[in-house]
Amino acid sequence: MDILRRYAEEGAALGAIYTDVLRKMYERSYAAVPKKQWDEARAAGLNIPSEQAFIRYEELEEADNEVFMAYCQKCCPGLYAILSVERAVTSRIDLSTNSIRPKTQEAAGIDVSTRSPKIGTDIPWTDILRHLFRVLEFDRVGTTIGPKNQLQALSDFAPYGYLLVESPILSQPVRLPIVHRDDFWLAASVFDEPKLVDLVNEEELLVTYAPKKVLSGGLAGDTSHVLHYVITPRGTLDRYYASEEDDHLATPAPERLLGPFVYEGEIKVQLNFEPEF
Amino acid sequence: MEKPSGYARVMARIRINQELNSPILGKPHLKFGQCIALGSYFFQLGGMLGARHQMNLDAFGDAFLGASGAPGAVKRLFTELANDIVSRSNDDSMTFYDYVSKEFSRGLEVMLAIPHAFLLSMASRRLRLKPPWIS
Repeated sequence: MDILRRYAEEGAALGAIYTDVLRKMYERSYAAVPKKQWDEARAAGLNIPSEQAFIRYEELEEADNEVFMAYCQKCCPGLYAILSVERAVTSRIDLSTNSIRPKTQEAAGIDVSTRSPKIGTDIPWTDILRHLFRVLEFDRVGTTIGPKNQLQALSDFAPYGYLLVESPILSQPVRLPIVHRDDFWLAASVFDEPKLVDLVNEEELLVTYAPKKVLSGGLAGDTSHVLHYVITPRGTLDRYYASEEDDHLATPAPERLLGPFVYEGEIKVQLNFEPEF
Repeated sequence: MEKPSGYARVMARIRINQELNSPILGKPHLKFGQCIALGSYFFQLGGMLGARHQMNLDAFGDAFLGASGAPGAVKRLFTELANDIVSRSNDDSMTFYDYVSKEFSRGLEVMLAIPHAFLLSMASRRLRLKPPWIS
């Protein structure tokens, strides 16, 4: 068992430091047998399919990573949260290409260029986990707050509302669905109060998506609310991602602005007018 | 409860149990060829996951190998290891299987010039799960 672990360690070292060398090894390991040779072997009676199956590196990596992340989620949730955001850290999420846009809508003639991409549909939840965004607009999509703070949504199957958000990690504003009633109520508590609306216009309202328990696809694994808000001086978000000492693109640390996340008891929009990096 | 010791070790336990040959008489065992195949599988698995999580090596080292330490320690270890691997295996035709069989040969102190001849002769022999040359 120790020797297998040693090979895993050596492989991990090679993959992490010399990724191109590892990929070439993979391509050589799974190089296709010449078709003529394959057909001859089949003709000789070998029980092999007519066409060679080849698994692309990306497909196998995705499959292996899925199992690994399921293990992390179960055995080391703290590390899982860090490892989950790894896709977003390699580069700024570029939404200018159409690759992430729904092809069916484009095919149907819908001009997707005028529509803001939606997190959860156009962008995976895992890509934005624990990242900070600046709130530009609050779209209630018809949801109202009734007596005793009861939410009355237009549909049981659609989000309560959306936040139009922007961030230095995104190439354009995107829509963040509000799927928990407490998160809608918190957003409404800001946008229903004229003084706070003025404050948000002068300063900036930041939001981060950080569930208490995260499932493999980035969705929340329990019933706790998932969005955490803080009002900070204008320019805080840009300084947060421009910080040279801490690479927040690679390792998000929203607690530095929001303090410890609150999931139970009294939840509220935080105020932080002296952010420190 | 036993403390989880990293994904690699957990997977090694699972894969060995899957591959074990259990004869009617005698102890469960792996054949030499199976050891090399498993070794190359783990080398490949580690490589792919290492490449995937190269931006978070401290967290990855902890989860994958159970190796934790000061920030940057895993990257330093990996850099040293990777440089050593590349310097030892500067062969443009090497596959995962080749690398592992070469390493086995090194461990067995067999002349590197004839590893495949040795492996062919050993491929069907039964070996104990923990060969004596492994400490």
